Amino acid sequence: MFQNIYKSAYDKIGAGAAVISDEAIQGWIEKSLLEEKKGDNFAQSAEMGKLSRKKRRNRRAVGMFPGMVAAVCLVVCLGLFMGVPVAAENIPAFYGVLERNAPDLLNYLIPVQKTDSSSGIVLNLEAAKINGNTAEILVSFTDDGTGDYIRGEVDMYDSYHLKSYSGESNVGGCYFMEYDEVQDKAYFQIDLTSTEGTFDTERMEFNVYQLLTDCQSYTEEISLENMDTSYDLKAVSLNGRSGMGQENPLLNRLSWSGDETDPRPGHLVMNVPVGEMDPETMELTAVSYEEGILKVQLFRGNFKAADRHMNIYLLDEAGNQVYANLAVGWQEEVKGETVSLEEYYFVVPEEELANYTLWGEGEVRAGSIEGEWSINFNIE
Amino acid sequence: MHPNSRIEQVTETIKRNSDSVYRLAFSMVKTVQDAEDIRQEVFIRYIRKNPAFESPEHERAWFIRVTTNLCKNLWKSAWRQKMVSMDAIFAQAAECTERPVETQMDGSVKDISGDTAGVLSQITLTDEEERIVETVKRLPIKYRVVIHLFYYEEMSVEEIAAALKLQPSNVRARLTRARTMLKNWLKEDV
Repeated sequence: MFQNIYKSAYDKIGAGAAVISDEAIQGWIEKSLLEEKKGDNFAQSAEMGKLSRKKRRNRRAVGMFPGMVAAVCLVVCLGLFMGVPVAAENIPAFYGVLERNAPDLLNYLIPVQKTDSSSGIVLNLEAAKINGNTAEILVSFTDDGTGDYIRGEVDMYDSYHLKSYSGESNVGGCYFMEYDEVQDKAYFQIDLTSTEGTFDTERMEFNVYQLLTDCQSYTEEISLENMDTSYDLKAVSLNGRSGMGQENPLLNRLSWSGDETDPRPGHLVMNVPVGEMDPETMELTAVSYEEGILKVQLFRGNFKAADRHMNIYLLDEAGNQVYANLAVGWQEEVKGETVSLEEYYFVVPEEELANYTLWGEGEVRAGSIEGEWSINFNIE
Repeated sequence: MHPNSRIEQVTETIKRNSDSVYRLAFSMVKTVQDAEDIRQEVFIRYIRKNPAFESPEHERAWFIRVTTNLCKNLWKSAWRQKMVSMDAIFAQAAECTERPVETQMDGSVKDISGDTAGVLSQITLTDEEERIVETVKRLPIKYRVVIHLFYYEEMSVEEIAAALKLQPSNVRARLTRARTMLKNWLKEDV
């Protein structure tokens, strides 16, 4: 179906293109032949120049001077006309990336242009600037032609390191700049500060151990319309909780299964059937408001397969973010995989609920590639 | 070779590859004019280089490679990156006129209905065809190329890999990714 429609469309597109006439082809050929001929003439001139050189050597120095000036001018002019396009073609592509994302760095980053390959991915150390105990580095990642890993945003988290002989302890951060679709490269800016003194610019080593690919981030409003006002509850064993509202009496009662004889009382969460959900997704499974508590349940899927998390908050009319009074997390088995779920509790009086909107900032890092990328470099 | 035979051979080769080069270029660039320019540049390079093709497959692979490289170079150009997209051109054109247009350096739109270059608006695509073409154009370039070669040119994974100088595993992965994206956007199997 797809193929038939695609082919039919491109048949029409091809048919709509201007027809190349014999005259046009003749014109291209003549143009090319003319250029070839010019090249031959140039070569002949060069030969003639060699033959007559001996004669010219005998000329007096005074007579040579204007000729030399003319020749130098000619060379300079040719250099300007021919050298600039050649040089432009050889300008590393990262300059364009810097121009778009961090023009300030254009002034002082020094090209390094060294690479290392591991796990089907090439690390390119594009440029760097080392100043005392601070380092600013521009790196990029691209596929080595055997796989297809780099196709958008990637993340290094904290799996990178800069070593020099003065020490290897450093702190800092990395920032994803952009994915250049044409070059098929993902660019990062890394800022590091050595905690052990000045970097030794003569011998540096940059390492990366892990790359997270297929990163997506998004922000969406979660509708508070048509919320359920009651859910069956079930008891789960928590593997984590956070928030300052644990002592809130409204929330406190959620902390017990109600079974006083249970030596390990569970936590009561909304009972949403998650058995048929896809472990490779992240979805909101329930939003409810009951007895002064806004509850949001998030299904995070198999956390071992991909890092998925969502920052859930209320936004008041003044644009302030209000975070959950309590958030809890637990695990369940779905389709043979261990999945992670979370519930968020916001204590909001019913009459104030209309003053808020609910938002989720989701982040997904679906692929993890481990490798050993290592580049030795120095900065002159 | 006698000059006249060379001209005949060149003419035949160009005509034989003209449609496929144009279609591939159009799948990769933003405008019809760009596709026409790329096609012309591909054939001028062919005339200048005068490569000796060992087989029809070799010839096809050479034209595919040169076309994709020239398209990528076009995208790299800073000027092109500031160009208005085809959608924007046609959206502007539809607002003021039904006639074909071309975007100028200053962003203005020029009526080129008298020009010889073909314009997409002059081609009658069905709604479904237009939806498919536009959706495929949303793919990253590297996926668009493999989709076009696989579905239009009906090349095998191995042939695509050889033409683009990639590993077959890489082509397979790109096809899979592209299909998944298209499936999500089109809500149908690809």
